[in-house]
Amino acid sequence: MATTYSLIASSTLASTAQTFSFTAIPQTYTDLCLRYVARDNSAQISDRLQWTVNNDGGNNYAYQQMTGTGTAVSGQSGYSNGVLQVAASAAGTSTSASIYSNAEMYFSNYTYAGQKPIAHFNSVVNRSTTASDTSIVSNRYLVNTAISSIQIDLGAGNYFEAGSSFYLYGIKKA
Amino acid sequence: MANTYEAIASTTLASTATSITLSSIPSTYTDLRVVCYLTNTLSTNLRFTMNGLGGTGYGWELMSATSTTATSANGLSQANVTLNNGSIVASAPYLVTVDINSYNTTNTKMFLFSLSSNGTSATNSEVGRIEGHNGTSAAVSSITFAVSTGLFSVGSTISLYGIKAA
Repeated sequence: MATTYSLIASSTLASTAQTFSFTAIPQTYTDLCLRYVARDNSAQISDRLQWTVNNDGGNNYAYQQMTGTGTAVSGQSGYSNGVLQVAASAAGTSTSASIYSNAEMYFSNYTYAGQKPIAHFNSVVNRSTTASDTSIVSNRYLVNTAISSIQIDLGAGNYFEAGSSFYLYGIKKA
Repeated sequence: MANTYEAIASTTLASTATSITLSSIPSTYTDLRVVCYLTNTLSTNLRFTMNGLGGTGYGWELMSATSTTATSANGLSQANVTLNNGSIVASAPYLVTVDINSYNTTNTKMFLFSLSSNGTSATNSEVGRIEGHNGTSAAVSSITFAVSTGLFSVGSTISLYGIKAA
């Protein structure tokens, strides 16, 4: 039986970084799974990271999100959005220094250009002293092209903390 | 270290169908993961059964969000596990993953579903997590996804992976 779930690339940041990306993603798998832990310099408990694919900064993304903070749950949605978005996807500086997020992004059928890929994300950030922030998100890329790169740019003055780690896996069906 | 997470089987529809079944699931793994990439011809609910069992043996609990509303619902003594609130729209792809841990023991079978669907606007998408179960002591040997209305479209795919403990 063929083994799947192969590591494509990984990176653990040795120093702060404003951007991060996976490029030249091989088109030989069925699905992609990106697992990461992250912390940035935002002055909050958890940050809402905003990813893009294929360096596409256009309004070509849709999302449906559900978030929980320990005392409340709510929904958020958007269409023709400028990013793939996932709440509670990075710990901020309002948590203890050792706190990083724990997140998974799953891209199904990422090479299929005839129908648009879809992804679902899970993410949690612990608040240290109270409840945790958590989110589950459905995201869709609204362009009929395969995904060949995944990137994030936190913007000027914002950066990932050292120790943030990103692992990209390829999953091939039977 | 032994390899795990193996691709067991996959089926892709060459013609439209009201259901998709993966059968003859080997009992040699510890856990199973199912990944479904689906589209449908009509807005629909998605339903799940195992081993061809109907009756009233299923229960489920759902939490999901559509637009700005988050909800929870449950079903007891059901003929299947219902995976969404009917918000899946025609021609929009949706993704379902199912984790079936300890699928070959005699304990009650537990299913953890993750559902993601993005429709054609910000108001007809849904994301959710669903717990499902069936009290049968039999190992899970087949699984079936069906739609309440319409048909699964050509190209809809279900893939099965096996995960083995050390």
